[in-house]
Amino acid sequence: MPRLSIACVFLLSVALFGGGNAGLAAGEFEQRVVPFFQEHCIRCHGEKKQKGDLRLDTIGPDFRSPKAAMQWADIMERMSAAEMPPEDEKQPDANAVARIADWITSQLHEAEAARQATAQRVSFHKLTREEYANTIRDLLGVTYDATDPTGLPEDPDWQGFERVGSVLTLSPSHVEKYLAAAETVLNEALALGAEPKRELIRWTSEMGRVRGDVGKELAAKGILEKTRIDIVPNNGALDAYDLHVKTTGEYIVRVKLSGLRAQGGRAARLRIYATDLNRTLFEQDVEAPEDAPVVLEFRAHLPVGTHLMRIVNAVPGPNPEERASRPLNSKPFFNMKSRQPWQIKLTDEDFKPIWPTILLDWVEWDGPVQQSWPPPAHQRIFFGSNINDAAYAREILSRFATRAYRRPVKPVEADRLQKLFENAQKLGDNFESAVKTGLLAVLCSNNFLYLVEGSADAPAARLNDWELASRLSYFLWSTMPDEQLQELAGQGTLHQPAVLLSEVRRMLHDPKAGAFSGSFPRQWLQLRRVGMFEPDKKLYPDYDGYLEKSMLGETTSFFREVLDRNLGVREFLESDWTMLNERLAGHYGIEGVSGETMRRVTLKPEDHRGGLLSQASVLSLTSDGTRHRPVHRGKWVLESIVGKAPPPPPANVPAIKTSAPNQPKASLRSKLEAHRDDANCAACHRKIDPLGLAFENYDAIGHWRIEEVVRDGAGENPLLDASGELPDGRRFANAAELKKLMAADINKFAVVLSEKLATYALRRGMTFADRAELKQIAEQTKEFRLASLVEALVLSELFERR
Amino acid sequence: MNLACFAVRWSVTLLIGGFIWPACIDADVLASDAADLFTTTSGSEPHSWYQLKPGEFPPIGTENRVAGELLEVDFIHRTGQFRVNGTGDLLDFTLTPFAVISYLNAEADLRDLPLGNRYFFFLYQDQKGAFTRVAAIRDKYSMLAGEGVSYRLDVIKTDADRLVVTRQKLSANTADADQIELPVSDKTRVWKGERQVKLHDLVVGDALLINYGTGPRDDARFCTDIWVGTETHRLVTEQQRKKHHAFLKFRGIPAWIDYVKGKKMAVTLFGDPAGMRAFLSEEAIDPAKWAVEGRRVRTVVANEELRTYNPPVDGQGSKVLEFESVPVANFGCAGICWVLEPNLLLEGFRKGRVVRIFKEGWPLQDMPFGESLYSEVFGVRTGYEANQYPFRTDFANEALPWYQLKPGEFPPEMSEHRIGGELLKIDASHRSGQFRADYTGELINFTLPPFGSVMYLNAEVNLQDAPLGMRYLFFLHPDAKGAFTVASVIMDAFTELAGSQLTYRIEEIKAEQGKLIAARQMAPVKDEKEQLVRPPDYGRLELAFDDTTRIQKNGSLEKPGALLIGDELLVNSTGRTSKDRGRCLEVWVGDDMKQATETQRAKMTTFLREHGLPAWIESVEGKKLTIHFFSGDRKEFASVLDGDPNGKSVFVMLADDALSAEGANPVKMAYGGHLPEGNSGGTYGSSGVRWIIEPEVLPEGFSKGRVIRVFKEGWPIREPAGK
Repeated sequence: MPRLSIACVFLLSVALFGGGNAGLAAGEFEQRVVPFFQEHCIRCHGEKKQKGDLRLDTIGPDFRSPKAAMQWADIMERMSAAEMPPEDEKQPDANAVARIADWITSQLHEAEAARQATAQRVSFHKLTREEYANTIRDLLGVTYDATDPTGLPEDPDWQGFERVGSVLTLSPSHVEKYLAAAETVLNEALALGAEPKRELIRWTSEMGRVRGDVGKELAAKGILEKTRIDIVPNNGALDAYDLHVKTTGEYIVRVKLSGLRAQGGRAARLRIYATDLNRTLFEQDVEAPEDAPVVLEFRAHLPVGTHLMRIVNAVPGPNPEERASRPLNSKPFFNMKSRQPWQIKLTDEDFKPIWPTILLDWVEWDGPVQQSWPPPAHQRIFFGSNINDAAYAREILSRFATRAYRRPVKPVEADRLQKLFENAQKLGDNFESAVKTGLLAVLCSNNFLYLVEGSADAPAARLNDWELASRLSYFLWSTMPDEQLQELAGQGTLHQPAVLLSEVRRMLHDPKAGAFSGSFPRQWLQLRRVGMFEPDKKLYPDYDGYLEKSMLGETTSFFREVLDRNLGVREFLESDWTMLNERLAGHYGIEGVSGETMRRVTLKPEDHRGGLLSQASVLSLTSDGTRHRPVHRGKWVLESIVGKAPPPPPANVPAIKTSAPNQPKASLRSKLEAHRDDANCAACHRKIDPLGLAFENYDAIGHWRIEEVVRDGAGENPLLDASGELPDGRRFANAAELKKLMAADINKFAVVLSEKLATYALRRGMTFADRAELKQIAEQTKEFRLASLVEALVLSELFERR
Repeated sequence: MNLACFAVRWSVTLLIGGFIWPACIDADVLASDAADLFTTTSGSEPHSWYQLKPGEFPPIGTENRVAGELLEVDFIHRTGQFRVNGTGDLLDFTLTPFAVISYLNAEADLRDLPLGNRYFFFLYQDQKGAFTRVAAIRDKYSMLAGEGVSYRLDVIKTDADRLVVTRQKLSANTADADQIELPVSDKTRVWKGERQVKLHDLVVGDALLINYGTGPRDDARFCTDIWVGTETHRLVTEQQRKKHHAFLKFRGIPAWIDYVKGKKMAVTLFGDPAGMRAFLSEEAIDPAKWAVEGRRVRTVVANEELRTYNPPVDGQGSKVLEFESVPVANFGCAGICWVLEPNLLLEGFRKGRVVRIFKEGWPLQDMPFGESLYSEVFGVRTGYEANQYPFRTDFANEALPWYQLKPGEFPPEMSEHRIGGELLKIDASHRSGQFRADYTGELINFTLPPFGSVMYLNAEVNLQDAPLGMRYLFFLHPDAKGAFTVASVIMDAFTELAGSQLTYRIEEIKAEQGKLIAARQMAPVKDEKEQLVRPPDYGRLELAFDDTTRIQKNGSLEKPGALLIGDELLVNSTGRTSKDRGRCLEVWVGDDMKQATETQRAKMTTFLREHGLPAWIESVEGKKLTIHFFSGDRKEFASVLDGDPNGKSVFVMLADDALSAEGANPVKMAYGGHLPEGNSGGTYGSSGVRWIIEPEVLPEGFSKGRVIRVFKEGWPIREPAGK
């Protein structure tokens, strides 16, 4: 009695899910899935036969059990791959297969989101490493280099979001890292030893070009100071020197140099990169004539140890491995006319630069720089007492824990900390060191490392004011609540709508809101994939780190602009402006933009830009190192803009064929079309591909183009065709028309964006249960303005719900 | 250092209606073909001489053509010296990058030219107006053969050492009306086919081509070689041509860059047009076709001496884009211009710079050690470094003032003005003396500053130990009046060469002329397999000697007759004049060279331990003195010093600026440590050793800048004279 059993499962699932989601799922299940299974599957996977140990007559729409979810995923994959039904069986209609695959996918997503949202009595949301470093900064006033190899591991992401609690797990190695981190930051923040000696290390040409006896000779001749370090473009690791840092801390770095712009080309670009820390300390275009060098100054936080610093001219240039690129250490460099004949020619016949070149005089490392001694954090922690006794220690630790835990410390917690202090003293530690043991414990506590919501003693559906302060603070600032938020939480008034609104507005105007406008678009739009596959140097010689940084800069500053001006979210889909600097403007072929800072630039239709979809960051993150990937682009649009992730591709998909040498050159589009002749592929790709192919006029790094450069085959390169049709039948000729169609559905996009914001803020996936509320948040926002949307979210019930 | 700066200008003017022979006319020219001289030498007025211009080949006919006997060549720097026929003047020359040497009617290198032979030098003025720049060198053979001319042997006068011949042009079947006489001797070599035959094997009617040299008696010209018959002529020319082709293939075809535009550059090849055509054809290079086909060559940066750096690495693959046939009526232009597109433009790819072109497939290899610019060992340092100095040097910065000696400072290398000359007299007590400058004959009085050093036989010596009548290099600095009288270094020729790891090797002994032909060779160096190998010779020169020349060989004093071909030696000579290269006074052969150095060093060490090591007081802090020892031989100073006197005392005497401590009392001081050398590297006179010393009580006179003599405990302090 398969029908009966299915009905039973349905009823059961309604009882379990208890919501419209399950109801709808079950409705679809009965109307579409069950008949399909009956017609095509049950003969082999039913009561009588269970080929492959699979029985479909008893399967129900229960996607919450991991086992069932896996089974459903397997069913979908086999159907999509046309493995099932087998070739000798009657083949189903492709549309029907697509519908079933769609349904399974959506159910799987819902179930996964639901799992994320499963409420515990107490929920723990681990701080990301970015949040950890920010919190340490605000708590102790010191920099923690979280992304250094000695720092914390990279956070895993869930659909781009790095802060979703249930995927942020804690392994034993994490614990060790946190302990080491706490030790490091406390050592720097507290004055437990002698004041570190500030030292000045100066690198001159004697570090690089002039070594040994040559330097002595030049000194005797009085011309050593005339020597400089010539840094060719793309010098890679050619100019790398060891910096011996005796004390962890903040260093002032000064660089005296000239930066020569290539005639009609790029400016030289100084990058100082700490190899072992995998960290760029400084990067900037430099324009200063050969005879008028400038001194640049920046600060860098450096850990103790020996660091190999690369001084890089970060612009494309010849291969640094070529001898012509390399310096000659025995022959000093004096000026552009004194270079060796076998070195790459940096200037033209009139000695005007033809490559961007850096002429370095010296680099100074000055530090560690102390704001005061003892450091401010020390003074705040050891706030002052006549006697260093246990009571004073308890007070110190309680005050610190209250700030670190982002809530008042409980007496039992204070007892534990005091006990630690006492034990340490018994073991011979002096007062400060014993207090430090307690401070270490605070920094390694769950209450610090996690945003803890709820209480085991008193279950609550809503956040208390302290929890609300943290949620709000980590949402907009990615760091701990400041004193005002804590004060409001302490007063118990934060949850009041008027207070909350005023706080959101205050917070958005605070410089710390930069964390939101940087982090949220990065996670929402999956920008960390930009540059993940470095574009092939031969195919895209223009691509470099600066362009990549500028691409990201465009998207995040675009977001910031929309937020700061409280513009409508429509701008994300279609706009007549964007944010550019000289590098990216050059990449887009837009003239009149100079300098490194991102600024608002008005676009003309012929610029073929506007909105997020045609930004180089988005176009390149969906490409690989060699070519654009229309399917990936389409999938990205579905995920990030349409809010509907497509099903994963089936296994064993053959690669796209290249054209034979004697055949005409074929565009990727035509190859894709040939590739998905298979009806089973076509079903999904019909939805995905048009959204990607619409951006055919942009290559893998977002360059505008009208023909596709094809290496295989004969004849002319094919012209590009960006036209397509949406599933609802609306047609478009190109990306600009697609953007217009999408902008026409602005209300749908606003809901999707609300969902993304909520995922980011609440640190969990949104479920079907949240949809109505999200829709309401979007709809109540006037003209779908971004800052208003953020305010609406914060003021919503959803935001305060656990 | 000032080599011949005198311009030898000489021309012959033919006046209609009669001959006027200038006093300095070459007997060689008179006796042979007037055509050699009159057809090409031009311009009688000084202002009308063609001036060499960057990037321009001088038109044929604008040269000042001078004949002379080749005396010295430096293969690497492409320089040399010859004696002008007739005047006997010595003339230093430098080849232009595009200079073409013709020997045996084929292109050649300086290495191929026998010394002592007479050649025609096609000269242009250098920047100072002297005719030192050579656009072409041709031997007599090439001059004759180039015109299709040979001599028909008419009569052999063996008794009179003469051959009577008639100038003939076989291709036209014509001959001159007059006979001429060719002087020969028993030293004349006669070549027939590949064999050497005797003079009496010659047959009347033989077609002869010749080269001239200077005979047993000075000034007498004679045929050094006679080549008999057209087949022999063809053979020797072919042999020389092949030799030169191999030379070119190894080093690349020299060319210069006419322009660089964008990524393209135009190069014009150097060489004799016909010779280059033959060479390219042999190498299957069709310059025009290669441009059409876009073939690739390798372009290697070079300097004006045509030396390369590191061709296997420097060689830039370059596509041939265009070909142009350019006029060849200029010296050095092979007539071939290519527009190339190199993979990467290098600094050396600039208008006017020299490159060498290699066909793909020719082995790209480094020039031998010494010639390669990656292993330069030669003393002269030129180029960008020199022009960065904040003072004038012998090589650059003419607009800047010379370095002025400063109290308490050692002068940097290159700050000196070097002059060679013969030491005439000395005053040891004042450390001063007089020398006669080379060539100019000017008498120059000099004084050694306290740190000034005298180097003889590659060892530091006292001034009184430097033999008089011998030529030295004087490193001079201006005195208070601006005259170059202060000598920071005086150095003999032995030291000059030995310091650069160079020696001579006898190739030929002309005992009756009192001449040696010697190769200038470098000491062996390790090759890539760590084996010691001697690099190829880098030059050749003629040395003069007589019966008074002292030959130190096998540990004893010998007569010149003891010299043998292959002997390795160093020499010291008399000074030079405008006509005299100097005569060897002493010759040190083989191990005696090293022995001579060691003897001098030991002698000096003994002297210094008896008289104290000279130093000056660099600074005084309380009782503590920082002292800086002098030394002209920094590398050897450690062995003279024999370690620091840790935990011991030293004795110090005040001395005057002539280093005399006469009358001074030794003061005992505690040794307080050794300081780093500071900025004394690359200076003259510093040992690089600085000490801190401290007396119990500091006597008067020990002030900053004072000269002292320092004794270690146990050294035999000589009682100061007068006590």
